[in-house]
Amino acid sequence: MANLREVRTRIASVKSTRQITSAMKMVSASKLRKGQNAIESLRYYADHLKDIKNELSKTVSLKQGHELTTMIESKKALVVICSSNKGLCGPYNTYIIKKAKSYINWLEEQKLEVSLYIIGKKANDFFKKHQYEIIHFDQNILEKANFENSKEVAEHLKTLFLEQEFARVDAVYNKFKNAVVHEPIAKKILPIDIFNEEKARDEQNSFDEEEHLKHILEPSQEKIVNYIVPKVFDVEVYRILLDSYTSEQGARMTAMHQATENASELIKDLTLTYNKARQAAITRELVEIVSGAEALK
Amino acid sequence: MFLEVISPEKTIYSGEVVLVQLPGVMGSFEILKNHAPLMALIEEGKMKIIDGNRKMFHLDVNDGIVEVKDNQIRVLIS
Repeated sequence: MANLREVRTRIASVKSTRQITSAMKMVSASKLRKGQNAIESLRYYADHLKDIKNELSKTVSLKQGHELTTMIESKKALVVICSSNKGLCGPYNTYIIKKAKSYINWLEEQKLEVSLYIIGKKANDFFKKHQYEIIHFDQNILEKANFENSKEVAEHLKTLFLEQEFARVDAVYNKFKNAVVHEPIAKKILPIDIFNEEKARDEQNSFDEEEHLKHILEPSQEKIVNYIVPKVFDVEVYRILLDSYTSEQGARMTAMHQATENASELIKDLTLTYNKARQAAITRELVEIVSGAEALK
Repeated sequence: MFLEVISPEKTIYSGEVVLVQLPGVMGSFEILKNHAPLMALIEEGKMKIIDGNRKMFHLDVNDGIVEVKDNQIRVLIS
């Protein structure tokens, strides 16, 4: 039979662990809600921006290329990987690293030299150990992901793309679906395919071009395109950061919920063991007293 | 006219208005009912709004883009 005191200490320790995991779950839940609200607002903005972009592509011909939409002849590729800084969030980082590795392999098969731009400590640890070329590592951005900060990241990526002549920039991140479901995806973010869909559609409906409303453009078509294209990219980067952040909180919440449940289960088992041991001890003592009294007669 | 002022982080204003004055990059301009379709860039400054109850107020905005179409005004700022 298990030692009474031993069981008692174990129960106490499991209980305090449960307290921690349940607190972490609460914290993640509140951060998750914050992230979800931010995603909602951004989606509203992004939809409107897309409307304007579509409207613009009706009114003006967008044949002229913006520097962010132009493909550069080069053998270099940049991959942005979004992971988390902290663990205890289930398989979140494992998935993202697995996805990133297979994506890098795919790029290397296309005869591209891959460099990495890493956000979050966990991916940095892994890819540093396996000696990948890391050109930038940022671990502070996720905790304070607002539009202002993500614009800096976007700016940095734009400069890298234009000055170091990367043929393409891709992002590997967790796409947020809901609190329990997030999906690791890889996506090309630069050069922007911004007007491709419109071009394809324009070729189809070129006959009714006259019917489209002609907007007054101020100050000029070129300036507006020059404003919209980088803006679309900023929004994309912000969305990636928000999705990563929110997915991480969702993953952590699920993991901690599971841990709390497991702890409760364990406490139940241990309490049962403890009570059994206690009862056995009492019975033994009683038997001793009774048999002692018997012997005195 | 319906006006929406949206930033990536929140909707700043949404409601019926009768007049909107915006700080365009080529100078300030006003939008009244039945304005022609317009797309314009705006710079940092103050927006003047007169809402459906004829109450006037100002909003601080930074650079952005405004689209006017079918009496719908959408101001996207960053």
